[in-house]
Amino acid sequence: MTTPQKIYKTEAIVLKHFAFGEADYLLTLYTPNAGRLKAVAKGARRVKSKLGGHIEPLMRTSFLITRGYNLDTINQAEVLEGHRSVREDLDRLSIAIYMMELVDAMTPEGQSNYPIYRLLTETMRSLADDDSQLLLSYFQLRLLGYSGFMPELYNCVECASLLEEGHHRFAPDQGGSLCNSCHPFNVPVIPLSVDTLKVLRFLQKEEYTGRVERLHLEQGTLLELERLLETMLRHVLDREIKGSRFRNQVAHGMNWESTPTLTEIDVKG
Amino acid sequence: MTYDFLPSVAAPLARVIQEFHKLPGIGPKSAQRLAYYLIRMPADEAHSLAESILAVKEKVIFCGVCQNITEISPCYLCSHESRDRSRICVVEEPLDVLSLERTQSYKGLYHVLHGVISPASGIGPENLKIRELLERLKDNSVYEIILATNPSLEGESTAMYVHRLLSPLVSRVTRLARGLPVGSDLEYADEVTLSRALEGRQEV
Repeated sequence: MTTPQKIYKTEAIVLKHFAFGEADYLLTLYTPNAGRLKAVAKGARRVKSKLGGHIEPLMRTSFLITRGYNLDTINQAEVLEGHRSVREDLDRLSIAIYMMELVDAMTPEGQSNYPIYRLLTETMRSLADDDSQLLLSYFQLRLLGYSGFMPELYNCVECASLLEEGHHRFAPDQGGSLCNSCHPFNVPVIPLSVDTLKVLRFLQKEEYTGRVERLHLEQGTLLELERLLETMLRHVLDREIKGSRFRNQVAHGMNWESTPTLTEIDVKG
Repeated sequence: MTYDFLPSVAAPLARVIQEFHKLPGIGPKSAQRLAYYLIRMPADEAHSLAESILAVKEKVIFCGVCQNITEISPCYLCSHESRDRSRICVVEEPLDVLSLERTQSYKGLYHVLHGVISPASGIGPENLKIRELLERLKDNSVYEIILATNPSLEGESTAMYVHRLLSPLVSRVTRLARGLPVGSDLEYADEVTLSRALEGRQEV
């Protein structure tokens, strides 16, 4: 019989923290080999804690963790990437917070998914000098894909026939695009323009660095992309993404009383 | 937790145990111990305890100016003549005011937000006392806003958000410096803190 190791080393991205007990933090980490897990950082809220600045959300940190009966405890932590330029810019920060929430919501605890770890690490790096909507769309689509929800973009999800040219529709509940002749009853659909469809296919295939980042898209296409992916994510998660509201408040003016959220715009058939 | 199934516990005692159990950090055993202690307590002390709990609920209000917890509005700090009215220090919680007052090096006014922006917990700017802060700036008597939220992710986002809202309205918006705490060790300092400490270095 083998006993599991009591102490393990891992690097991880801190997805979120939660004040816990007198001066502790309960951290949610995303690790390359064990997926999402939780661990306690004892005394981390004290000014002189040696863990303090190493375990803030968004950081990529190297950890030494002791396995516990209920909760694992962090012994040592040293930050690898602090993402200072993201933390010091409100627009980038709001996008990063949103990305952390998405990963937290989309991934099951303790299930390894290295592509998601890599995606998160690389997107955080790109975010340092690129806060475009396109980067976020790329992240959202890839995250959906790596979680097993990659939208179908070549065939009709209803009749399986190859999509022909023209304006199509996207059915988030069905997980993909519909051809011109299929009109399933009582299924919410979003219009899908040829441009958006092409961009989505491109995002599906190509890496962000060097390829996707060179695309220049019209505002209308970007907006369509944003709405489509947000709706798809909301459908998969079956709940509101809280960070999306803050991101809108930051991105679309600071007047929070009249900020329209994507959810308020109805999905029309 | 109910004690209905325990007829051996007198009903008033069971009730007090239940009430204690609602407090943060009080488990079933501590609740029982506290309740039994109350029984042995002198009657006047018990009265004073009960009365103080009621008083804290009835008399404590939010200051109409700084939103701090107070008995009178405007509060002691807001109405004190010697305070510098051209500076407002923005903090997260009422306890932060106490910490800053303890330094005895700040003579301006405060504004308590009662929380921080925390998208993950669903707390947005509309849930904080930011609107009240904007109201205070209308008469143009404020020269400086000092953002003294915690240097955590939530505190930073709140500071940046408030800064963006206020910068057109106030001539000076500052943020508390970030650096090494007294008595700490460079070995354990993180890169963000250390690089900021380097940038903010001063002549000795």
